[in-house]
Amino acid sequence: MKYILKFYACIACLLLWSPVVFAQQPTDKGVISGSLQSDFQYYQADSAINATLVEGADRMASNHYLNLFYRKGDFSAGLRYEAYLPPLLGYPGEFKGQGIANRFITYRKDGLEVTAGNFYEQFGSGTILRAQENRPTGIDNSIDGILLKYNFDDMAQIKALTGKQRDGFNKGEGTIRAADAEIYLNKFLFPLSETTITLGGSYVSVYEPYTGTLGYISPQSDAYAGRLAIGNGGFNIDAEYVYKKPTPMLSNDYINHDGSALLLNASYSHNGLGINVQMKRVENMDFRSSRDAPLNSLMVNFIPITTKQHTYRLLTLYPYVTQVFGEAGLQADLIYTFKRGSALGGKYGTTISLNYAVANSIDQRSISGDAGYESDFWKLGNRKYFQDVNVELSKKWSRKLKTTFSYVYLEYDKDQIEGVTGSGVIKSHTVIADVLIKPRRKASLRFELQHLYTRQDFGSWAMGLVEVGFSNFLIFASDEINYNGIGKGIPLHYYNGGVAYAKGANRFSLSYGRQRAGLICVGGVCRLVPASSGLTLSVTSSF
Amino acid sequence: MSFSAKAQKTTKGLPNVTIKTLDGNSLSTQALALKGHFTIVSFWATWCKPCIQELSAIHDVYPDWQEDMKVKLIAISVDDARSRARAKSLVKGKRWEFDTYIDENGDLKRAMNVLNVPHTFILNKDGEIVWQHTSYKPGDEEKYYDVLKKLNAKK
Repeated sequence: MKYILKFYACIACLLLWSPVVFAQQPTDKGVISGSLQSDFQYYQADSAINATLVEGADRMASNHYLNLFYRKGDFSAGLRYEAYLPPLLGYPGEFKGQGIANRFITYRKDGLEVTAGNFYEQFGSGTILRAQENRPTGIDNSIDGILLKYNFDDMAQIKALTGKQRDGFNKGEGTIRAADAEIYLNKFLFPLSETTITLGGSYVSVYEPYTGTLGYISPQSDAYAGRLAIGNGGFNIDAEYVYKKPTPMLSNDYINHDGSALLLNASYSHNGLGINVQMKRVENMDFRSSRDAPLNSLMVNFIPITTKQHTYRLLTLYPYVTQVFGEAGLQADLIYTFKRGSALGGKYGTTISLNYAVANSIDQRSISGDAGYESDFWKLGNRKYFQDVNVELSKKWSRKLKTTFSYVYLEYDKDQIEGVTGSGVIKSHTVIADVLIKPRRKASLRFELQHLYTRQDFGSWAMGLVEVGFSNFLIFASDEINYNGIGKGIPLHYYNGGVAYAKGANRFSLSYGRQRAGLICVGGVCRLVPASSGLTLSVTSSF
Repeated sequence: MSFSAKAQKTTKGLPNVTIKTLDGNSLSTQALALKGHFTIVSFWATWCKPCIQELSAIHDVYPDWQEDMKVKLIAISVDDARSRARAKSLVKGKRWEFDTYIDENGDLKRAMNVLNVPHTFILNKDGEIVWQHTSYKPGDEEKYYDVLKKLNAKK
């Protein structure tokens, strides 16, 4: 009761928020902080790279986000204003217009945490529930509702929530009701040992009225998950299994088939050595809070990739995306640093990283009837979606010189991953040299040379990049050259250059150039963008 | 804006949210030891190249810094749960001696108004945020050192 009263008192305080904080200057009225991000783009038509402009459309597009965060004692509250005037090219269509896209108030005390309004949350690995914000890829599926968490003296934690998901400036149809519990067993069993054992379980249910004609569709869809993690010093294993009852919807062609996901992970790390092996099997795991949600909207869960996410530019031509309808994958990762002062380590140490990843189809045979297909859990399908073998060697030679060399072999089933036809599997070999020179204490010169060899798709690419840093400035110029592709003999240049200024928590960057069409991926989430050409200005600031 | 900078300074510690250890246990940010030494809090991710550059650069000079003053670096990974294991093997594999935590739901990131990684904060000996910087280019670690040196000279 006490908490509930405080909770309402807090809502009252939110209403009085601006006069309290801005008009007076008392020292105990809490703290306001916030952040601003504005991205402007001026587009020009560029027929060489198929960057077209719609007749009469605004050539200038911009996305803006202003966050305000207020903190006082056990309370915090926040709001976010967003404006898309109009949205940048390739940004999801539901992000149109402007308004308050997120507001919340949280009360935290003695292990209790209550949030009303928009919140982000994740159960386990996120395979059953994950509400997240990922701006570069246009995902914000925050839940608008109530979230309650209670921590039992760091021995166990429970979470319960209910609400509807954000969809641009609207909300999805379905209501999510979910609960999760996690217990740190080691604290009961052997409180003094270094071993950790965490046991968890989740339940997620979505209710969305159905008035259509398909008899097997129920308004309620449920999913369950269990997980276990064991750690002992450098050794960790964890496992999670998710079972989802059938969720017939647009993205799975309204099939009446259940779904599941199994994730396994084992790792060992000690004294300069890190080894990590991951396995997963995913089947019919698309889970939305609205049956007709397209693309990346209204996702209840999120299944991250278990392949390495490459950041060198040419490798972003072929990024992997989890195939939620059916996939079996394996990844092994090894990183080792030779000790400083050893023969191979030199003065500063030498790091070598090896990574192998493969993603394959699972056994899925089409059948007639509502279920859509049959599958044998233990059998693989006969299509390889993706394979990646890569090695990276990085070494600091002296105070002034550091180098990183990489080799990457990729197989990429473009038809499957990008949902196109006729491209087939693209096999590529890529070599990269990344050299950093620091002539003076606060000045730096960095360049990258990259080459991707392939006989498929657009053919081979070469790329060069130069970055000069001094004081608070960074000047950069790059060119990606598709030299034996569709133009046959006429190299196609994707040049880009600009300047960035960063001081404290403010950063401005201005650039001009061409952006190739393809997937933009950040943190394992991807968005498809069309080719574009023009001027870009970005401003970020935290205060 | 008229709210006083002084008020901001005296209450600007780390926000109270729950993060996770590399072994997956929950931990309140209130339980972090932030008093009696300077703290660098660096937000990073395994898929973020400038972040790795920044942490590697600090790793290279860390022994020198620690010789000059009491300073500790806390690395907060914003990787999702699947990358948590990779974050651990990367930290250990690179021999980084930083305390590393996972902010897999982004609660700390949002509460500290971090838009992009890397984003780095410097806390004084009372655990109050006194300086921050967004993005990284080689050589920026020298700026952090200058800020720390100035703080250290004050005492």
